[in-house]
Amino acid sequence: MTGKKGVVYLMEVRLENLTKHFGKTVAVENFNAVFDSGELTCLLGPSGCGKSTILNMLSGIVPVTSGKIWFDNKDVTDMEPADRGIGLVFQNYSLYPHMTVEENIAFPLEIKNVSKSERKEKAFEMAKLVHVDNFLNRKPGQLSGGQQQRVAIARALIKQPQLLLLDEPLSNLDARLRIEMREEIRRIQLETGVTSVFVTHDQEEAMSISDSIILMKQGVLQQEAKPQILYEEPVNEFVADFLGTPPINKVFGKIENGGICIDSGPLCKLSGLEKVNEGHKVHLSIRAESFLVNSDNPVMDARVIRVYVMGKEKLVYLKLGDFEVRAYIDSDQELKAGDHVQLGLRKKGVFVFDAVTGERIR
Amino acid sequence: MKKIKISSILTYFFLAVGAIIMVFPFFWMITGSFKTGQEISVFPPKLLPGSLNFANYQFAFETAPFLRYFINSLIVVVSSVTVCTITTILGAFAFSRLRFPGRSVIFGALLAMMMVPFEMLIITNYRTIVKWKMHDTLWALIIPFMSSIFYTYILKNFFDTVPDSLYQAARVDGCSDWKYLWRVMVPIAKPSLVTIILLNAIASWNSFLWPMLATSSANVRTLPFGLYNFVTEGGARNEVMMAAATIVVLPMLILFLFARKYIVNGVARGGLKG
Amino acid sequence: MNGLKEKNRPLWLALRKIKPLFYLAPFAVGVIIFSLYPIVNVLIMSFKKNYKYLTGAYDGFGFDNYIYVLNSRDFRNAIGITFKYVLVAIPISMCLSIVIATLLNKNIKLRAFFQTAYFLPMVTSVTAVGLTWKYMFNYKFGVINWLFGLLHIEPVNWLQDPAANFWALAIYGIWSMMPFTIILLLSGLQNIDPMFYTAARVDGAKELRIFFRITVPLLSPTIFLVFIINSISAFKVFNELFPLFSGPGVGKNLYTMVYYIYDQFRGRTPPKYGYAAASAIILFLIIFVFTQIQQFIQKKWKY
Repeated sequence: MTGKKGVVYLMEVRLENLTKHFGKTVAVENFNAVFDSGELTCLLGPSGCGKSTILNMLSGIVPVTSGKIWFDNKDVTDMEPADRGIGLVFQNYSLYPHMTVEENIAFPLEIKNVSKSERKEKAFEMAKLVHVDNFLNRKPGQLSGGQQQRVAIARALIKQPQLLLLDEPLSNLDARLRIEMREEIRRIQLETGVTSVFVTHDQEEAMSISDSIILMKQGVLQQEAKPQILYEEPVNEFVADFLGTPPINKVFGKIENGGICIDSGPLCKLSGLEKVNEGHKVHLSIRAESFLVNSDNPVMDARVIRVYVMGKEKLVYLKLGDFEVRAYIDSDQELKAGDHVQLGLRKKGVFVFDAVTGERIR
Repeated sequence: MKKIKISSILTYFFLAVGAIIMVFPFFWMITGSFKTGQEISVFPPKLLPGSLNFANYQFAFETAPFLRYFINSLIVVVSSVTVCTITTILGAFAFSRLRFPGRSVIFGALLAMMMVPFEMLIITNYRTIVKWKMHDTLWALIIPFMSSIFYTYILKNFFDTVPDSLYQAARVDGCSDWKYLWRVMVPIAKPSLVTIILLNAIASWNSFLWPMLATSSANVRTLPFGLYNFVTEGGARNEVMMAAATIVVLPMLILFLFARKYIVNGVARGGLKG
Repeated sequence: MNGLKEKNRPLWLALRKIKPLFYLAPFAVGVIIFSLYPIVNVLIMSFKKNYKYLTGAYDGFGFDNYIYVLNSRDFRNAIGITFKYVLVAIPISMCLSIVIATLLNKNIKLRAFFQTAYFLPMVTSVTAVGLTWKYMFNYKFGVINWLFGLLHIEPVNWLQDPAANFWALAIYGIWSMMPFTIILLLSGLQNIDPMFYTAARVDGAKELRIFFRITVPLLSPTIFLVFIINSISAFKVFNELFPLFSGPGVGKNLYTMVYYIYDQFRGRTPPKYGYAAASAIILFLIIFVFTQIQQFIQKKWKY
């Protein structure tokens, strides 16, 4: 099957019990995942969580300790990197500094001994795809970071890889370029339809770019889901904590009378906790946008500490027992420090986790 | 305001005097080579020759085979530097990129060996060359210098600065180690390589102690030893001595003026890391 | 391609394992024969008693060579002369070089020109330029004595007077040592963040104070490094003797350690390889101890 621009072949990638040990440290443990054909999947997680190791095993740069990697129905676990048909894009661009943009893009074909005229033609086609066709004769040193990363993507795509691997490709760019380039990467990915794996530690980046996100922690897969689902239905506390700006509010407490008694604070009346033992310690996580101030169905009361006006909405700091939480409210609500408010909660964005295991209870 | 001026005048004065001292021997050598026997032994000395006469050069070339020496020097420099550069590139690449058991131990041992003065090695090397029946041939001046720990060390350090991801990118593209070395590493390392080649060439061209040991016949002498022989055996007059010395120094002088940047930068880089 | 790999997999894997060897071999052959073997051999040779070069015979192992060498007057003198040379040439060339490097590092006009002038002796052939210095040192019509005359100093018989020829050697040595020293110091200076100078100037520090309180301390790692490199080469002073004096000076008073080594196996028949080897090892040990002391001081010195 050819891709949308006739450039790329589609392929599904499957990881089966993938494990990697570096000496005694476990980088990746028993990892199972599927990267759907033609989709862009993000490997997301804090630094050192093993996401780059997985990418390097996919490319073949790092040998696996155990487990298998499948490209469609082909076992590529022990295959040489060159034979896997992949394109690789690095954080630091890794362009050859002594070659021009055109030579850089065409280098993979040069290795394959493709004729010069064909190389030139293909390189131009790729340069046009990533919008660097005006700089073909420049050296990488004369380009901006964003342009260099475009060239790197073109170089990765020129040999029509079945799989495009991007290792934190935006981390060396400044904030503005990062947003521009992530949209560009998405455009190029959609245009070529190449199955892509994108490694990042930036949850916002992952949320905005991917079809699907795999969130990892210490070498172990936490959750694999579409971005929205990951945000709305985290399977555990780590996932809930990792996603969202500002970070999700967390208060500690224990189950009392089917609700949660917040430490040194009010009782929060919540449904769906009937099956939990009385006195069980839990963490209540609430997204900032999930508070309803002075709602008709209040579940607890709180005191206002500070109020910031932020354009279309207000950010309110509230005291809940021992804890301080942030809540977004409509800007037409008049609040000031010291006010007592009745808090309600929306359906979405309110989670209860086991205080010990971090497992989702509600 | 006035104070600054005085200090800057002092700066220039001091630098100028120093510069004259540094350059003067070369000036004196070259002007001396054009002086007549009378001009060169007058007191107080004459700064410049009366005319540009090449008689001294002619005399030097006629009495001693300087052309032969020159060609010998050229053969030795070109062949030993060429071979040494190749072994250096391959060795540095192996130490920088390839994995093999004992890599760091071997490299550490090499660094320790760098501390051993060359003078300590010549006793044995002289005997090796004699045993191989290479003494008194140009081979004796080439063979021992076909690999260098020092240059390999410098180049390895440079290779180490090339990011790993470049190597990985090339591997993913199906680039072999061999091709990666010559198509990517070597072009990137060009400035370092040029420095190494120049330093090696200068050292080889000026080498004196080893040729003095390893060769004796005139037809395999290189320039520095040939010049020394010419002076001691022939008891050459000062003006001819200056002409002969100019023959030895001039090629390197010209090389230096053209490649100053490479030599200076390379020495600064390599030296600071060593 | 793939099929072939599959079929001959063991062979192919084996080839891949020894691949580094292909890259290393050319380099290693030279190093083993002309560096490693000589080092080991010199060490062994230095312990062989009555080693006969022609037959290869020797009377067992012992410290005889070392005892002979250390008791020989020539060698003791050589140690003295060599140390004197190191202690004179190194400090002088260092001080001059630091000053010149600092001046060259300023924002001066004609910088490239000055740099070229100061770096020029780097390409020096010891023989050729040494002969020029010999001519400059000439007693009767040398340019140096002429200069001394202008300053009303008695002419010095640089090359024939035993008291003076050490200074001729030292002057030439310092001159040829300077370019390399200046280059290293200059690059050290360029690595100092200009911010420090700006800060000091804002605080109202004078040039001289800046030099001693900021430049020299921040440059000290480079200074130590250059110190070590220069002393190693100064300990091996030898080549310079030939063009200037055609040998170890008047009455052997410039008979340095390397000259001693050279003399043992080139100046004697039959050659005294055992003595040469033992003295070479002693030279190495002296250099080694000297650099270790310098490194020890540097560590203590560090801020």
